[in-house]
Amino acid sequence: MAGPNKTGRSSQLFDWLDLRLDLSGIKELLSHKRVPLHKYSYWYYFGGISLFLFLVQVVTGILLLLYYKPTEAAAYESVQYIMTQVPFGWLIRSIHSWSANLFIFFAIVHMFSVFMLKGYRRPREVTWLSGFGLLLLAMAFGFSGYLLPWNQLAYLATNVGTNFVGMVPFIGDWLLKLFRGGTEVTEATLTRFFGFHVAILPGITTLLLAFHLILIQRQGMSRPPSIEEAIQAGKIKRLEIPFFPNFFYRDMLAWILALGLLVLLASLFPWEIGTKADILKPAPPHIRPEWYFVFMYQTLKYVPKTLGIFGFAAVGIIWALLPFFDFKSNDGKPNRLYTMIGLAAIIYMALLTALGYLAPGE
Amino acid sequence: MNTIFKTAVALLLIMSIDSLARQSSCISCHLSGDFVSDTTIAAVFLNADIHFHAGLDCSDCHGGDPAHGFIEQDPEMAMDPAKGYRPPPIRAAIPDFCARCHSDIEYMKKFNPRLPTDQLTLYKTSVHGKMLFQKNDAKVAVCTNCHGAHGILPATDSRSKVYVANIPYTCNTCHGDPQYMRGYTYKGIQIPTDQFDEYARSVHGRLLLEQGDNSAPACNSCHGNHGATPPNLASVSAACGECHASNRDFFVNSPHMQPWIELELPECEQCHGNHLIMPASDSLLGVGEGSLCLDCHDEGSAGYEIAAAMKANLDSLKYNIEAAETVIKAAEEKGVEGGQARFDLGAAKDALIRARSVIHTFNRDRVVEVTEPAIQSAAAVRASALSSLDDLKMRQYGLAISLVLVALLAAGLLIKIRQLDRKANITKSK
Repeated sequence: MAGPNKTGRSSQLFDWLDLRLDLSGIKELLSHKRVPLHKYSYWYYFGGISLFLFLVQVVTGILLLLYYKPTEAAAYESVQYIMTQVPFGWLIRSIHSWSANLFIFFAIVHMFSVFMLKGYRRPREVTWLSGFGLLLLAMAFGFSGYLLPWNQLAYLATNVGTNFVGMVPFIGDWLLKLFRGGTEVTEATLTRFFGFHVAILPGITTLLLAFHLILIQRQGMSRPPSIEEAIQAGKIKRLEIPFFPNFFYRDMLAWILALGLLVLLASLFPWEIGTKADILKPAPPHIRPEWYFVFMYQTLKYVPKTLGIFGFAAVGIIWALLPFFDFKSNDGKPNRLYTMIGLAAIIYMALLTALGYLAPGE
Repeated sequence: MNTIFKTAVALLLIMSIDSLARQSSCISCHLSGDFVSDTTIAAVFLNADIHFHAGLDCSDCHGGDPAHGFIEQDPEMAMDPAKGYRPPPIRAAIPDFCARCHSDIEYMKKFNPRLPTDQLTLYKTSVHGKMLFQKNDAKVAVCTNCHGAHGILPATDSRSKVYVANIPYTCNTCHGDPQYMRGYTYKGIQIPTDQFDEYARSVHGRLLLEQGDNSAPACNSCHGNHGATPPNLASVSAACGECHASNRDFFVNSPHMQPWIELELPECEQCHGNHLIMPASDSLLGVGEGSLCLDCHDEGSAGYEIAAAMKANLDSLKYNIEAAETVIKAAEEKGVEGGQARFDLGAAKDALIRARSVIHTFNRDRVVEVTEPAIQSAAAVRASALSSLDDLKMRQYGLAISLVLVALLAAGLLIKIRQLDRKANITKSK
């Protein structure tokens, strides 16, 4: 376990750490790890960007936790205090809200890029599954976090959102009470959502994220079947770059650009706080959930709600299991049907989301 | 055919409304049209009249023996003066006719212990009552002019002619008719007939008639109803003071009160008018255009100085509030949360409203007591909003600097990546 050829104090420090942490092993792994380079390589960065935004969420979330108070009487006021009185509070909260939305956006982009490039194929099906689970967790983060400022829109959106939970056959009532902490959206719901948002979801997410990342590190990046085919046919060269430092720096560049975008959005468009929730006020017309739920919300306007909820559950499960049945890609051949399915899903989501924003709400 | 249909409907109505015991020859004949041509009186009475709903029928007012008359089918028997029949009274007799019951405390208690029973007493003190009883002028309003006769509705019913929002129209039926009012004078001058037009354009009229605010005063709020009379000098301000209590209190204790009494001026009305009371504006005060102070106070007089000074105080407060609002709005437009600043400014706005009332003391010091702290608080709000605008500038600089740093870092990384790629001889596949 001899260290590399280093002299002086830094070498001594490395040796000391190496003995205890096995740094050489990691270094060895990194020096051998290579990442494919081809015309679709840039899609690889979206997973990294999602990871970066998640880390931003953790850091800013912890900072917000220092001032936030999860009670009906104080939640809104504490967020107002953060926005107006706490030094840089407005920035921290805006970054937290913006990066939450960007995180979900980039995670969706990441998922579809993996799907279209068939990155999920054998032996990476479990990585896909864990990634899909992480996206669902991100949405749960979004849904639970949305209520925490206890403003009117959040209160109404939570009412509508949890109503859908109540429509699940057989266990709907039970689920509704579990989510709301009672039959109505009240302070009990707020404290419960706070618990989900800062303890339960982060715990599960950390474990699943670690699992997802370990799998990626162990299996490496997948090369799309079309590229693989072109290489086999001798049309292009098989290119790879070392993970460290070549790919690592590229990833860092993506992170820095994401940081720039985040700072720009948070500074120019600070996240609004709205008006404090008033349980007695009637719901305004045209309310809709957060943008990433709009395609589902809009769909439920066209089909019976129970059927719609069942439908989305079924589609979600099928989507998660699709990789296990993509035999063509597993054999390294392009699968046009799956590409079409992916495209159809993107078009459907985009169309219904657009409809949700253009058509008047309920 | 039409008569048969009406009769059928009316008879069905009777049967469905009440028991057969209340059937009488009055209803039977007056609805069927067998003996009388006008069937509307009975129909209206059965449909809506408060007396009918209270369990009374025709004979409770008109006497007679309708039950017996119904059995014998004999109108003469039903309307037998020997059985106490009272024919419809002439106009001059209507107040006493109604008062038979309405002035009987014991009788009225049975229906509602809170019902007033002083209508006739009041009426006799009213201009209407005096004209009727002392000058035998039957043209004046009697009970039925305002309340109706056989379809009397409670005053709380929005269809009633004495419902608060309908009162101006009801009074205007006579008071807006120049022909009808010809010859009626007050202090030797012909009574005008444009009160309704003026009232309808006034702040009170617009509130009541256009915005449906039933708390706004109608004619009777100032003139009374059964005791209706033109308010005299003292009672005008008493009427205004019912709602504008502080203003009246300030005025009667002000230096203006004594000269007003001496000059026999109506208190509030002198500056604000009567039927055509417009929303008071700050320009009524001071020495500028539209000022009422100048009507009496010449330049150089103490009153002139005080008027100018009070107006300057109000203007200064208004200016400070507007200035603070402008800055808050600018800050809000740029994304700074302005809720707290607006809340803080609320105190200054309240003070402005209070100051507009306190000017009725015509005491500059008392106005300053209200305006000065408010001017300071509005200025403080403005300063704080300005500093948040400065913060915003700092945010923009911070944003610019951090974006430059991000760009530099990105550019550095890009150069480094290029170098590394060249070193490893990597070119992207096509």
